[in-house]
Amino acid sequence: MMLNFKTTCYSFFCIMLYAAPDLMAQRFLIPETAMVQRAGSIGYNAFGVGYNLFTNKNGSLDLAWGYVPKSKGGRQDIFAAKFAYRPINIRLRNFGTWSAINPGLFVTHHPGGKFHTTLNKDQYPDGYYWWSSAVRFHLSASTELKINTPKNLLKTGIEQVALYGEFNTNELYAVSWFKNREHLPLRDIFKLGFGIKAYF
Amino acid sequence: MRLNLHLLFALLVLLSSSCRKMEYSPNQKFDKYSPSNINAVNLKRIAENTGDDTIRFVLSGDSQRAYDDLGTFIDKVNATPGIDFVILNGDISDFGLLQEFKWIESYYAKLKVPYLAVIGNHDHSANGVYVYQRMYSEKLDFSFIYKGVKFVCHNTNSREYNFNGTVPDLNFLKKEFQPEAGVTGYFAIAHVPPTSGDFDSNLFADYGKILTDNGKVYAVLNAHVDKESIKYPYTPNLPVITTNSIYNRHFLVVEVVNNNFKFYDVEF
Repeated sequence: MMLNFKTTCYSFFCIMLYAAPDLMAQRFLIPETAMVQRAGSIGYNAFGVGYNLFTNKNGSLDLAWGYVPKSKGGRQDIFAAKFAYRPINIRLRNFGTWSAINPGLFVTHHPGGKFHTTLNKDQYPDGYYWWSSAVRFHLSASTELKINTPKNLLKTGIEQVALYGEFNTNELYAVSWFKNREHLPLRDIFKLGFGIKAYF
Repeated sequence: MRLNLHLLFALLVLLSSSCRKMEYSPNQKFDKYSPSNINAVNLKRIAENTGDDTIRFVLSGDSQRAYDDLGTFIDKVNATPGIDFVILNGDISDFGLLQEFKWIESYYAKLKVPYLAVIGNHDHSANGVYVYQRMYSEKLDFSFIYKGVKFVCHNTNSREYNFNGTVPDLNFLKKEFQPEAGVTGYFAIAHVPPTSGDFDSNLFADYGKILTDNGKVYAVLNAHVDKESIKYPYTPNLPVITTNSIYNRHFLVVEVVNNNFKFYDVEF
């Protein structure tokens, strides 16, 4: 189970990162966006590629690798798959677009011997710990400002550059809050990150 | 100009508060704001405490995910006179996450007296051991002597090591429970009681022998089982006592007066 999950994740990333550009027959694999993110629970720095989803292109899927260096509380690698939807898009004349509030979901995987996807059956009775320490499920809300590339720079292939800020929480923080709503303010379980995203 | 200054100030406040909200990973071992070395700092404070010969301390445990109960707990302890220090006897966190340790610490930091934290099985999840080691104590086994009584705090979370025979560390315990001059009594303090299925059954007998051979151990003080209990699995002179959890709103007050040991449960 654990091996399967990891293998699938890694091969997916490999295909995305290395195989995509020369496979014209599989155009859909060519990333439509690239992002760099600071914090936001997917690493000190995280790098990813993404795809627009749905016919209105208001959905997005980003696949990212992030890391926390030792000096910042790591060393830790993080793999993330992020889905978001942009229901409110406000056009700012020729300047760009503001996607005001974008709900999302994402999953993170934390590789390493300290983390378990499933409990070792020889070590623990069934249900001893109900969660997986390797996999976190996050809820997010972001705001994103897309800036149109000036005409003379369009040949770079980048149509828009977006700046975004994103709050997220995970299921373990949510459970902690749910049972302690009197004294644990909801805002305390939300964590912040910022990023830049290029739209090709 | 004044407006601009206000704006600048508001922006600075916003930025600095958002910095605190930035999280690299829930599995970070520490961040810029997380405290470190609390046990060492508090052991110093405990050592500086001179006063009467009475020893009176609080045994609390299983603070995991009990944020709604911790404020009342801290108020209750702060209102109890004559407490020398507080022990947080493991399962500080539920999921081994830094954020949980920070939340719990923010409450215990409000105690008027120093406190010491011992590691529990839940604190072994994810990077919890690293978080504990940086925030509280590099060593999971440690001891101190206070007013002639030796407190031996140690790791008994055997299941987390798949019962590999190293936890509890009997060599450490043998050394610590060697009778020594000037020490009139001993406490063994650990999260998992030896009577639990999470304690290495292969070490159960040797563990008890070390304590009974010493002859001056007042009690084994544990948590983990989320209820108050007293058992005598070794000899009638060696009680194994567990404290109820913070979530269930109980703790124990333990006293040593003129070499006499007693304890009582407090509900809050």
